Amino acid sequence: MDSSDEDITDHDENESENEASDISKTPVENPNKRKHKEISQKSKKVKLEPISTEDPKKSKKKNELYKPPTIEELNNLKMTENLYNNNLFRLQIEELVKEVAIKTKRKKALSSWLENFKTNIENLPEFDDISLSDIKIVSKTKKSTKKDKFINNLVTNYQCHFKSDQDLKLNFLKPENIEVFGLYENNALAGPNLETSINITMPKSCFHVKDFLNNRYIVKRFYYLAYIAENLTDVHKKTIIYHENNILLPILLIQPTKDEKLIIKIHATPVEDYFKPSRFLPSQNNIKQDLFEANINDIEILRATPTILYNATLAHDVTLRENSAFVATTLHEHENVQEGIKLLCIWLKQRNLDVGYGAFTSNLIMYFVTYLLAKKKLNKLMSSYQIVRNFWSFLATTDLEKCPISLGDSSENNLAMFKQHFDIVFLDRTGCYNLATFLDKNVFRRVKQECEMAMRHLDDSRMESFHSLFLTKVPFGLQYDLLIDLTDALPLKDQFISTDVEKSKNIGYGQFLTITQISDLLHKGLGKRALNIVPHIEVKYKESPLTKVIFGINLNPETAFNFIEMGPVLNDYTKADEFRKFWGYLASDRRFRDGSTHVAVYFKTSTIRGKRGIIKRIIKYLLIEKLDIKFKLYYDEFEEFLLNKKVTSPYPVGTNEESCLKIIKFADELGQKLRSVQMSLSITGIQGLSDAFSYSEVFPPIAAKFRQADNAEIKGKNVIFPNKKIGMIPRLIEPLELVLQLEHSSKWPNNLEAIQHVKTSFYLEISKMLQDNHNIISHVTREYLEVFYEGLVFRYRLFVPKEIGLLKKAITETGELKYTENAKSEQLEKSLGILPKVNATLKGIQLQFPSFGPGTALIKRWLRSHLIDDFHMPDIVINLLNAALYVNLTSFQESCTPQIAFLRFLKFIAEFQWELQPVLVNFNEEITKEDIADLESKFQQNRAAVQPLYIIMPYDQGQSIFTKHSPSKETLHRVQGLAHATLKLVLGRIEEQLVFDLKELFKPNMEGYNLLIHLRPLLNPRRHEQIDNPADSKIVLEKYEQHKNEKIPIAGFNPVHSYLKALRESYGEFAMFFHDTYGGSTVGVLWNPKAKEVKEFKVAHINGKKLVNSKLELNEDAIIEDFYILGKGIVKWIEKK
Amino acid sequence: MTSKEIQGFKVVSVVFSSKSTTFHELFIKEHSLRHQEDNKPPGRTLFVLNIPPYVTEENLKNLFSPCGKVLNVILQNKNQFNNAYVIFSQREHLLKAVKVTNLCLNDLKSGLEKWIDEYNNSIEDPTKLSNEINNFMLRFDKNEEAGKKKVEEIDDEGWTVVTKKSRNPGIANKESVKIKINEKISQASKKKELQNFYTFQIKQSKQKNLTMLRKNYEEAKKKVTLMKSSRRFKPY
Repeated sequence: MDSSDEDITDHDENESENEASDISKTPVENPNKRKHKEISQKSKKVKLEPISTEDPKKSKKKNELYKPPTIEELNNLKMTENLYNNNLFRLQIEELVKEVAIKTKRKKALSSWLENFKTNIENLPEFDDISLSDIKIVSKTKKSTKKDKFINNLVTNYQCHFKSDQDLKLNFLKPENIEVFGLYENNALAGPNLETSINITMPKSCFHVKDFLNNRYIVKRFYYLAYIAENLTDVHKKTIIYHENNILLPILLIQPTKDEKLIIKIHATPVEDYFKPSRFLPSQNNIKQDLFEANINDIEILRATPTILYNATLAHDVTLRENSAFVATTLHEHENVQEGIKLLCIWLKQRNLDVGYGAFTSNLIMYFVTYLLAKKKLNKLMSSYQIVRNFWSFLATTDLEKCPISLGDSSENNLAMFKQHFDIVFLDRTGCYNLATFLDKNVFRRVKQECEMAMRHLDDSRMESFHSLFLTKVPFGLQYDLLIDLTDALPLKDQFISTDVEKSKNIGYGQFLTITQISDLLHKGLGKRALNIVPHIEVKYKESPLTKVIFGINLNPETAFNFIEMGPVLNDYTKADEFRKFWGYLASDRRFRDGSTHVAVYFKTSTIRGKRGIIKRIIKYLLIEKLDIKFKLYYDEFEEFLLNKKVTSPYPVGTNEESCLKIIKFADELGQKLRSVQMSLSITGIQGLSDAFSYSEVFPPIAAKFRQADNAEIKGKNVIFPNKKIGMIPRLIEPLELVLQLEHSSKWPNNLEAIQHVKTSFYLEISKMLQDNHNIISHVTREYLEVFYEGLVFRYRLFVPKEIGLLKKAITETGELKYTENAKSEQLEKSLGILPKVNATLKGIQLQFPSFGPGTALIKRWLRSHLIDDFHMPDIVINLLNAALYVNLTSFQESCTPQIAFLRFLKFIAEFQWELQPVLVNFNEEITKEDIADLESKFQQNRAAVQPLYIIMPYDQGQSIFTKHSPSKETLHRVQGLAHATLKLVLGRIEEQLVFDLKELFKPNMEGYNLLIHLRPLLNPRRHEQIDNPADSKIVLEKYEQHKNEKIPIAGFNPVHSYLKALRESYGEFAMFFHDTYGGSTVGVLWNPKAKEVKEFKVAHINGKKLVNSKLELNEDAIIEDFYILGKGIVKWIEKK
Repeated sequence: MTSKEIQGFKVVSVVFSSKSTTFHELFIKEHSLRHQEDNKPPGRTLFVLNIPPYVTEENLKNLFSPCGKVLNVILQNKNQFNNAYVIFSQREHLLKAVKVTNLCLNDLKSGLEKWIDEYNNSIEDPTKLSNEINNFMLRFDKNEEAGKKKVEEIDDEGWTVVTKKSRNPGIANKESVKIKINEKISQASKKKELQNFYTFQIKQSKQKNLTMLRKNYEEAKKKVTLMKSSRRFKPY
């Protein structure tokens, strides 16, 4: 493989020097001949054609593509096809591996330190015969010996948190052997940090035969490490930490120099064959006294029960040497395998699943790969891509919780014996140590899930797969729908009544037993509602080692929000009793529709938000009422921003779903009535255009009674504004936009104006029929038909495809008929042709993933609150972007709550590289792979020409029609910056326990604008939607009832909106305008730097300028006054900054 | 205020309400072009530049009426800074207008008032609307009819005009039709060819395959360089 690699690079170098130097490593061995040729060619070129160097290069490039292939090249190209996913994947792997290569500087520092260390160890001073009881401060006297000094240092610098049963004799003697092991030694460590491990063998004379009992070994090992550490001079930093967060396995962590990226971990293990490994099988008991204060009542039980975790810890040390040696020989000279391990470690690290107690450590990855290699499931010839793929497929398809595996050749009996005690069994070479002892089964399930996801990614061979697998960090806080943080409750009390057997089995790990029990309780309480409950536990070397306990919970979208927790049948007394006991006052006996009677828990709620709250209620019940533990919940805090607190609806409302449901229901009812209308052409389709139809509207209009003022002015069937000064604008009644499709007809006139008139006559006809047949009032304008139904205002527009054709029609000079797109035709097609299709699909997504709609609404709420409105980032673009996350499901499982959907969107948008790639929203896989590839390559080729944000979706022939005009590059940068900052704070809340009011995340930064236009709040019809709502009276809406003399209320009248529109139309080239759609009372204005330039006098430059010294300058003051004039009535004042 | 002048343009300062503290500068000049248009008669047309967006034709008429009678105003585009032609009834008025240094407009309707008016006007009487439409359609149908008749006519000397409506209308002069025909031709010619007959063809196809592979490789490499330049390969 390597040799072929070189060939490629060679071929590059011929082609263009720049590229080659960029991308390829310099070839180690270059065929001399070729080099020679190259040089001569170059010199020739210079001699013959000194002027133009471009042309020969070009022709050469062509030749390069058509030159006869060498065998190596052919092989290489073929290999890429066979062994890797595709070219891109291969190149990306190469790049990544290069990026994580460890610096030579660091390597050298390590080797020189190691040498130094070895000689140091050779000259260690030796102390023997120190009893444990001797280790206390020796008063300083003149005669204090070296030994006394040493003891003093031990006491002051190293606190031993382990206790033993006797006063042990400690011999501090030179180690027998020093060995380096671990990922780095096997060339499988992914940099840039260099971390290696040293195994120091304690000599025989340090031990006593029965030292494996009662913590004796552990205490000895601790002091031995302290002894090594004490005599290590010339290091920057040395600390005691736990190996893989195992609280009985302290090791020494050393940072030799100031370079924080160079770290050495020192293990101390007993000399080989001193303790028999079989002594540590999970059937043995090695602790005879309650040394860990586990409150064991009957010491006899302790003596009879196997101390499995304690044993495993000792077994780790005893078998370390043999296992490391085996790994080293197996991995030796398997470069691709080593590369594979590096990739896997990166993959897992990005997912944060390799840290904490119970994690899937990188050592485990190494052992697993070794296992696969030993079992011939991997081989030397495989590429690193295949190694990684096979590893994933192995974990994804093998049920390790059922079938134990072994690195050596353990007997079935042995495996079965281990299986009794551990969830996952992966035996080492000796067959006495379970490598997966401390691997939490819930973490393992998560890893397995990730493997499955990774496999899916690989099969879907799109460009981002590599990126999302290896290069994106997936923070802990975003992996789960729900987080329970128990850190405040540490150290955990014994809330559970555990048997002595349980306590004895877990002796030494009592706190972790409690955590497991909490986890089990959550499992039991949440049952099928949760997919997995994954603990994240961090420890530190100190008296009570736990520093952080968080449970991450992924919900099962299908069952999570059931409002019935069904218990056993009433007749089943024992089980029913148990159920009642568990659920306490929540349980009740119920009869169900099918006649059966069960004990059950019924959670009463009438909103979808309430249903999401069921999870919260269960967790609160379990943790507060049952356990009385302090905890923090990260689940639905953001939903608050979707509530309309100032307006009370006539029906129960949580987040936006209920109102959307109502709207869709009434729209369907009205639709049926419309379809039954008899006309010359019948209505064949009615589709929604408003966001409310895809549940993504933040504040959908509320179906309610419209209270008409007594003195309201009336014109025809409508309420209009009275002819006097107005001090307050009524609450906005947003009309719902829909499109009507008629059956096909060839009789439409061939004239635009005529079509428009015919359309209006259709409106009139429908309006009349609605009035006559159904007594529904409506009114007609030239553009649309407005219907007032069930307290909602619907606006219907007819879509006649012929209109688009007519708009596009043009006749060229040669008399040829041609159809070309123009702004008008595009607009029409977009809003009436494509949008309904997209909306219908989005509604489908909402049905499939109920968090989509409110999640999108939350995104909008956030973005708008930062003054980026529909003009800068259209609603439909946000809908599509969020839909992309649901359709592609790249880094995460499906989001079950609006909050997590929002946070994941933030991450997506903050990291999305829109310059490099388009967004793909392939609804229902409607675009074929080939078409996608085609569109992507087109995008790549004319990147500069196409819009900054490019969305590929099925309905617009790959034109990304919705992003044509906005967002702009500047907007995208701004949104990314905002998302990044917000996400950082939100994650900081979880990871570093930052405390702040979430409202802060929705407060715009008013600095940096040139002008602030303050509007009169009472003239803003959406004022009640503000986040920080000033004390304004509440609006209580009543249920709608039809009555005589009903009038259509003023709908869609939003002067703030009109003002912004006018500003942008008229002054868009001079300034940008920013505003919070949801009730914002300030408009931020930024001057366009180009408009501010002083220009020479020219008619083309004259607009908006004034003449100063024969040059044109922006007439700022006059324009500001124009802002007053345009917004006469609603502008309070304009603040200049 | 001293009057400013540049390149034949005169600067006129305009305020749009009596309360204004600042003013816009209009640039005015007598309209003179070699091509003369009927609606902009020479000698009586004033060319005005840099008119604020919200100013309507009506406003302009009023604005210049102190100088004399304004016959017509032609505004160029809507909702942006505007150019206009103001046509006076007499040349004297124009000459008077050119000397003006500041003007004041008071009857501007804007903001809330304007939007409320717009809303109120958007509500139309259905019977009126339907009458209007009927009238339009009647007229339209008549025109269509007339057009058709014209086509079918036989002229005085007994010649019949041949139209599309005949039995064999021929090929329509459309872009799409042209493309279709060209496609058909190229496909037909492809069918005639033998694909894998000559050795050189086989060789060529192999070469093509290889070239494709290479091209793919090159493309992938380019992408990676791009990613690299944006530091995408730093994993943490």
